[in-house]
Amino acid sequence: MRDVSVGLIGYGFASSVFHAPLVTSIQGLNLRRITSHNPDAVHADYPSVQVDSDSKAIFDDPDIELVIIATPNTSHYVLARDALLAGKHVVLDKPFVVSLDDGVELIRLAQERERLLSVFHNRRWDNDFLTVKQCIASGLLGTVCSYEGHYDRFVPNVDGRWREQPTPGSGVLFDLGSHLIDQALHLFGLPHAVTADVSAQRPLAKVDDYFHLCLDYGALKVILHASMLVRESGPHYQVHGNTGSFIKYGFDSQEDALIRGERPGHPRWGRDNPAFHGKLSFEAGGLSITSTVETLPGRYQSYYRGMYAAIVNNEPSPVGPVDALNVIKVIEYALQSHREQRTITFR
Amino acid sequence: MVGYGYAGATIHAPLITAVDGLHLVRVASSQPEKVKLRGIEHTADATQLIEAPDLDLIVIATPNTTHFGLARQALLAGKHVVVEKPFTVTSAEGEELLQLARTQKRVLSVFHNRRWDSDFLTARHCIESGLLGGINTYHVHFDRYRPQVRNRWREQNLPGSGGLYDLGSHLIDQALLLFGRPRTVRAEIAIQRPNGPAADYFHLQLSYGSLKVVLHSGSLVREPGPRFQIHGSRGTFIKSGFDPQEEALKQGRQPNEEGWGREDATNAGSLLTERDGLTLSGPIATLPGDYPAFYRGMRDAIREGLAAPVSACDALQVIRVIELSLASERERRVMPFS
Repeated sequence: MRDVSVGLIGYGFASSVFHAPLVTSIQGLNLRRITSHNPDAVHADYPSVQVDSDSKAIFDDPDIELVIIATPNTSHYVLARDALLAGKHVVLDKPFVVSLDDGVELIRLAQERERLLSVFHNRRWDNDFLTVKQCIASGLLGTVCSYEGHYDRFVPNVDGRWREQPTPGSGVLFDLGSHLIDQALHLFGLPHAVTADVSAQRPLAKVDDYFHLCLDYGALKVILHASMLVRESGPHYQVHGNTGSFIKYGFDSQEDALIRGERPGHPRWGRDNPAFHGKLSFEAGGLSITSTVETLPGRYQSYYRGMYAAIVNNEPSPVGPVDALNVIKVIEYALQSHREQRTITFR
Repeated sequence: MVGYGYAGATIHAPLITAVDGLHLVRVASSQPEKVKLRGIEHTADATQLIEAPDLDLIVIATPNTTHFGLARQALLAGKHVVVEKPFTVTSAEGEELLQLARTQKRVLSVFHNRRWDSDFLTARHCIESGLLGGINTYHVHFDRYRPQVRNRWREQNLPGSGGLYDLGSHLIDQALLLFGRPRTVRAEIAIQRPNGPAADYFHLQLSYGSLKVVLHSGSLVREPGPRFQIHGSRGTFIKSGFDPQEEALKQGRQPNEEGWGREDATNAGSLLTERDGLTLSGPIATLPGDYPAFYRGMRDAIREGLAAPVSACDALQVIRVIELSLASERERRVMPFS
């Protein structure tokens, strides 16, 4: 089994909490270089990693095969382009890009250079989403007719992070919406139409901090929702089919575990608090059954294990770039829907 | 009372009977046996009933398309009128009735009984007492599990039928009562059940600026999630379950009996609030539901000239929101409330 050398650009929240710990937990991935203006912070976590102030060092290092880009959204396109041009495989933190055209261009370039291009849609491996997916796949819900996913938080004050500054690709729709949208598209594909309310709900918010998205699939209706003013969250997922329902509260545990310093392999890794196990109601043999469903363990490491297998064994990439592009398409349609105050139909 | 179908026989008759000072004299219906079973006079002729000199109040509990004609006739005959919700099919009809009630100096009210649902009373109290602070999110669901389409007029494709007029009118009335007129209305109205003749799904968004209201109903929901989810700057109210009064009336229980409107304690809502620097959370006792309050209010409006328990003006706004919702679905856009 050969090693794949990895370069990571950016060492903010996404890198220090998600990418670096996950990459270093995978056998065969070797985190060699990190681009950051804060070498002390990197060395405190990874003493032997080379820290450069310019991403060029990663592009020029012939040993590095995979470049992970975890910088503010507006810089994704240029960095990914340069990485592909340097012959590297690329992982971008979500959201993929801030405009559809940028995404199309990157996909073209990746094809031309025969390199992998993937986007870190890690929340496909959230414990609750994996459980939702399995409940649907089991057929216990019948034909799904209603799917509602919430991403609610209580952050009443606006902070100064780039995510909350009015630049292209900022705001909660790009940030959290990309997760909920990716999950919905992963389950159901592209909708027929999108209608969205994307607004700033907090008085001092400079960018959108609220969205309510309706994805229309005909008889199936998908609602994706986020707000920063929710003191106590209702259900995270509510899925109804013609023969059953699945309702899940709580939130995947991996982000908090990573922040606490736990890593994949920890005995409780990816596990859910039993108090939040979902409730499944269905019919079997003429009986009405309501049961608690033990949440499947979350596994963000599957993403990077998949990347390794894609690079070394030519397996399909864990998140294809067309999937990620479709997420951006839905985001653009949602923004257009809000701007024009109407439903946008997919062409 | 005109009409003795589900609403008339199961809801209105027992509520009227339970209120001191109201006397249900006669019912116009095509089902004389059912009426006589209750010991009430029967007539087959609605016009005769409406014009009878011994009646003060006419309750109209007929299919939605007939509300306007019958209410108009009753007001012209000098009667006070209660119309089952939804008020009318169109707002033009509603306005005409409003004018007529004014010129005839009669009380005209619409039976928006769900203002007195146990859960809504509790939610309203949480909001109005300031426990939640300024409200930013109000989500209410009215979900049911009816996988088979039933052959009732409510489920047929007639003007004024379908889930939006039937259940939507309740949710809209409740939201308008709490927050007034929205700035915009957006709706998705659909048929989800295979071969369903009329809309059995709606998703309504009323925007009040930073306050967002979502009113939702599905017919293929085996196990509903929370009925109310209300978020404010200082707290959250979340409640599952359902007001018990309709079910109790279906079982033939009497509205003046002990413990009326009390909901099962297991359905108590959860409240999180801040008080004096403390964050408090836990179950909140559900207030008892009180449908008879509507008819007590009606009695007092007629006898003592007090305000009607539900003003016809309020009911008209509900129809306006329904019309805007239908336009929003048709035109696939957000409608400003004009």
